[in-house]
Amino acid sequence: MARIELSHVTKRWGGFYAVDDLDLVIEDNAFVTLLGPSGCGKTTTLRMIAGLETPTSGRITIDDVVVFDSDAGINIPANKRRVGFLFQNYALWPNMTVYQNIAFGLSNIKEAGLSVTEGGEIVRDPSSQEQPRKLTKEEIDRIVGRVSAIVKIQPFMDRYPGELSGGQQQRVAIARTLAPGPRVLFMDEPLSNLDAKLRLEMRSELQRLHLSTGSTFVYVTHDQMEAMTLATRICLISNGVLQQYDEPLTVYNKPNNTFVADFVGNPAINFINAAGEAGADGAFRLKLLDRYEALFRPAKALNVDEWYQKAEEEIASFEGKVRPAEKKNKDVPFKYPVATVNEPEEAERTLTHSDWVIGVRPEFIAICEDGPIEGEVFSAMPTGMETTVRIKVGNYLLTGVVFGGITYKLGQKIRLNFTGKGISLFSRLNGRLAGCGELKVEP
Amino acid sequence: MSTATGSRPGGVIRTWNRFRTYISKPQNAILLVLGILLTISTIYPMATIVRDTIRLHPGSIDSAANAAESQVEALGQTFTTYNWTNLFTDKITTRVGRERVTQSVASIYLWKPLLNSVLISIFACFGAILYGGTFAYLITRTNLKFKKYLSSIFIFPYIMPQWTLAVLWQNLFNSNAVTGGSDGLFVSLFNIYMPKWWCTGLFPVSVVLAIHYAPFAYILIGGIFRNMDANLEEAATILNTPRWKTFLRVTLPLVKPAILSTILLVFSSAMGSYPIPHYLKLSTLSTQYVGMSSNRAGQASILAVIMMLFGFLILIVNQRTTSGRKNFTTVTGKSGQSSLVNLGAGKYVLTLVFTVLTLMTGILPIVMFAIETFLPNPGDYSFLKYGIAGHTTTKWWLTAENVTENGMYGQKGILFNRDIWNAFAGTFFVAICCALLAGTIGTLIGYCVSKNRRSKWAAYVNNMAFLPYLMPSLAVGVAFFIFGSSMGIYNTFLLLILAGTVKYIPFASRSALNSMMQLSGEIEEAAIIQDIPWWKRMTRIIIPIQKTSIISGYLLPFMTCLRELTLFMLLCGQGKIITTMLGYFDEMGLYAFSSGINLILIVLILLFNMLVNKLTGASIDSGIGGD
Repeated sequence: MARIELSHVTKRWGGFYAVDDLDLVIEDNAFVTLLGPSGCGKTTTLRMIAGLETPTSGRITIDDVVVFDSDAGINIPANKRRVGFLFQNYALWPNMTVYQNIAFGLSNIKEAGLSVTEGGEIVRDPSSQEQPRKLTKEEIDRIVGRVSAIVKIQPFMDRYPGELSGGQQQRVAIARTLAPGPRVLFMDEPLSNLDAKLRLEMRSELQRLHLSTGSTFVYVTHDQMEAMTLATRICLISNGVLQQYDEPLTVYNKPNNTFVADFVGNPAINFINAAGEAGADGAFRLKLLDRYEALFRPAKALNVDEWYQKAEEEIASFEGKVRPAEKKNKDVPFKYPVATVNEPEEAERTLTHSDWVIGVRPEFIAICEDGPIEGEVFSAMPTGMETTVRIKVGNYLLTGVVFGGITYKLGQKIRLNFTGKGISLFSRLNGRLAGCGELKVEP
Repeated sequence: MSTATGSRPGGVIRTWNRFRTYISKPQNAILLVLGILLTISTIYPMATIVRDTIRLHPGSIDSAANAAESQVEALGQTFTTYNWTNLFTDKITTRVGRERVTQSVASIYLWKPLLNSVLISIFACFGAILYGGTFAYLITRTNLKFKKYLSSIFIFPYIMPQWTLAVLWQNLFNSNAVTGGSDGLFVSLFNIYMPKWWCTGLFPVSVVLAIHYAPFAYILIGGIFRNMDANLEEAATILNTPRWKTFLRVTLPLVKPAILSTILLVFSSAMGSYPIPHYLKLSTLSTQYVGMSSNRAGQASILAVIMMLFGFLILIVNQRTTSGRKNFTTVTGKSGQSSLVNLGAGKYVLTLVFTVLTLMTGILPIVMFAIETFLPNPGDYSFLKYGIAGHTTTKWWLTAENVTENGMYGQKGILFNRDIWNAFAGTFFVAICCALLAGTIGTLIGYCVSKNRRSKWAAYVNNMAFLPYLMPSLAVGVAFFIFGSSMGIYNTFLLLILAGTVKYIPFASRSALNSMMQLSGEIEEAAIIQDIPWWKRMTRIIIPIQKTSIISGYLLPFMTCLRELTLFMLLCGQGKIITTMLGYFDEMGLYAFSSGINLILIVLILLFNMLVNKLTGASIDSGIGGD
C-alpha cells in the first residue's frame, strides 16, 4: 500500500552524525529490516520516517507524498502520516484496559468515506463525497474484535497492562497498532524484551501478519538472525552510513565488505589473511595460514586494477562530500577479526593491491580425511542438530559447522578442506568485496 | 500536502513552513507563549525595583532634598541619584539617651541590617542542617523508637506559618520587666525572667529560623540516607574501616549535595523572612525595608535590590553545584535491607529527647494559641497558676455584638467577626486562584521542558520559572509592590494572585518536570502516531498517569499561599487576607484574636495536609521515616 523513499537524509547533533546521507527506497508491501549494531542510527532512521524525529536535512516521501523536505521546509507531523508504530517497550497506556488501549485511537478517527466490514476491517474510500464521520461504538467493537483475534488476546480485554505478561503486552501493542489500518507499520526492536522461545513464536506470527495485512513493514533490529529470517530486504547500517541494502541471502552470500560479512551469520565468518596476484587464467595464487598455497578462482572474471580504480573513485566521492559540520564520529575502516590462539606479533607494513582477506563461512569448512589442511580440534560444541568446531591451524583458529551430533575429542588431529563456490575475497586495503568463488588449497 | 513533483519554494515560504511546523507542536507553542509571559512577569517587576532606586518619590526625603537643592522640579527632572548618594555617603545625627550620636546613614539603614540578615541566614543554615541532619540520620540509619510518629511531627514547624514559633517564643519567655508588654508563661508560672538576649534579637531569630527550616534539611538529607546503597558503607566496613572514618569519608561526602542544596534554600528563605525578625525585634534587611519604606522609599528599594542580588548569587551557585561532577548517583536500586545502627540504651534517651523537642515545636504552639484565646487578658495565666477554671473567658470567641468594654475595642468575637471571615474568604480566594494558575502553568512547563530537553529556549523558560524560588520572598513582594503601584492595581486580589502565581510556579514546575522526565516519551508518541489530538493526549493519558505529582503541583502552592505573609504584606491593605489581618490585631493589642486566627489557620493547614496524604498517598516526609 505504500512506497517509502528517502533521499540524502541526514540527522546530526552538532558534529555527531546519527544518520549520514541515507538514500533508501522501501518498496510497497516490502518487509525491510534496518539492521546494525547498537547506536548505528537505525532507530533514528525509523523515527524520522515515522515523523517522530526531524531530520537535519534530506527528503522523505511516503506514497509519493512529500512528508519531509528540508529545502522546502515541509514537515508533516507524525499524526498526519497515517503510519503504525510498534515501540520497543510497547508504550501501552497503563491507565487504560486492553480494550481501551486498542479502541482509543479508533474513537478518534474522523474521515469521509469510512466503512467497516462485518469482519471488522476498515474500508476507506477517498473519493467519497460524504461528510466526514466518526466510527460508531459498534464499529469500533468490530474492529477491536478483529485485531484482538489476530493476536489472540480476547480473554484479556478488561485487564490493565500491568496485569499482563510481557508476551501478552506485546500482542496488545500489535493489536493497537493494527487497529486503525495503517499503510505502513514501523517496528522498533519489538521482540527484544521477550524470552527466546516467545521471540521465535512471535517472529513467525509477524511473518503471517505481514502476509495478511499486506502493509509495508519496516523493522529495526540488532539481531541479525531476526533480520535474516523475517525480511524481504535487509538494510545494514553502521555509524550512520548504509553498508548494504539487499535480500537477506544476498547479504549473507555476497557481503559488500568485511563489516557486513562479519555482522551477518552465526557463527561468524572466518577471515583469513592472504597475499598474492592473479595469474593469466584469472585465478589468484595466494599464500595463506602461514604455510599454505591456494588457488582462488572467482566466479566472475576480476580485473584487479580496474576494480581498485572504481573502488577508489567511490571512496573519494564519499569522502569528498560537503558537510555542514565536521563528522565527529569518523568512519574508520572496519577491523575484521582474525581468530588466533596467541596474539601474533605482526610487523606493521604498508598494504598493497596484492593483500587480500578471504572470508569463509563456517559451513564451507569440511572435515574430511583427505583434506589438504592439517589441524587439531580446539573446542567442540555439539547442539544435537549440528556441531560447531573450532579448529587450530598453526596459530590460527577456524570455525566450522558440521551437521549432526559428532563428538570430537579436544586436541584430536583432523584434516579439513574449503568447499563450495561461496568463498569471498575482500581487499585488505579497503575491506570491499572483490569477488566470490572457489578456493582450492594445495596440500 | 504537496506532491513530490512540486517545485522548490523560495526562502520566505521555507521559513514560514518551518515556523508553522515548529509552532504546530503544542509544546513549542506553549513554551513560546509562557516564555514571553514569564519573562515579563518575572523580569519586569524586578527591573522596576532598580528603576525605583533612582526615581523621585513624592513625600519622601529624596524629593524634599531635591526640591530644596535647586529647581529640578521646574526642569521636570524625575530621576535622581540622591537615594544612592544619601544612603552610602551621608551621615545623620540621632539622639541616643541624652547624647547626640552621628552615624553614617549606611551603617544604620544598610550595613547593620545586612550583617544581621547574613548572620541569621548562616546560623539558620547551620542549625537547620545540624538539627535536621541529625534527625535524618537517626530516623533512617538507627533503631530509634517511634519513627513514624517522630517523622510526621518533625515537619510540623515547616507546614505551620513562619511566625508560629516566633509568637510561641514571645509567649513563653517575654516579661514585662525585660521586654515590656505582657508577661509570658515562664514568668507567670515559674517566675523565671529570661535575659534580653534570649528574648529578642539575633539568638532567638536564628533558633526559630533553624527549627522552622530543619524539616528542609531532614527531607533532603533523609532522602539520600534512605536511598543510599548500604553496600557503600558495608564495603568500607569489610575493609576494616573504623565507623567514624566511614561516616566522615563515605557517608558525609555522599550527602554533601543534599547539604548544599539545603544551605541554598535555607539561606535564601531566611534572608527574605520578615515575620520572625519582626516579632523577635531584630533589624534585618526585610524589617528595615518595611520600616523605612514610607519616607525613604528609594533607599528601601536599594535594600530590595541587594536582597535580589543575593537571590541571583544563590541561583548561580545552585547552577554550578547541580551540574558538577560530584553529583553522585546514590540510588542504585539494588540496595537491600540496610542494617540499622544499634543505639543501645541511647535509643530510649534520644527517643525521649526528640519526642520532647518535637512536642515543643509541633504541638505546643497549637496548645498555646488555644490557651491564649481563653485568657481574660494577655499574659494572665492565673487559671494555670492557681488551677481556677473561672479565670478563663470565651469572650474572644463568642461576643456577638459591638462592645467597647472588656478590651474588645468594638470588635465582635472571632466566630461572629465579619472582617475575620472576609479575610479568610480572601485568603482562600487568593490561594485557590494561585494554586490553579501556578499549578497549571507549572505543569505545562514541566511537560513542555521534558519534551524539549535539548532546546536552549526550554532551558531558559525553565530557569525563568525557577528564578522566583530562590529570590527572597520580600524582594519578590517589593518587586510586585512597585510594579502594582505603577500599574494602579495596588490592594487588589489581582496583584496578590499575580505575585503568588509567579512565586509558586517553581513548586509545580519542579514536581511536574521531575515526574515527566520519568515518563517514557514513547507513551505519548504511541498516541501521536494514532493522530490523537493534543488535549486528548493530555487529559486521557499524561494527566491520569501523572496525577499524583500534578495534584501536589496544585496543592503545594495552595498550602503555602494560605500561610503566606512576607510576600503579600506589601501588596494589600490589612483586611484583605487573613495573614495581614494578624498584623492589624497585633497592632491593636488584641493578641487573643491573632492567636485565634493562628489556631484556625494551623488547624486548617494540618487538616489539609492530612487530607492530601490520604487522597494522594504522598506525604511531604514520605519515604523517609517509618518502619
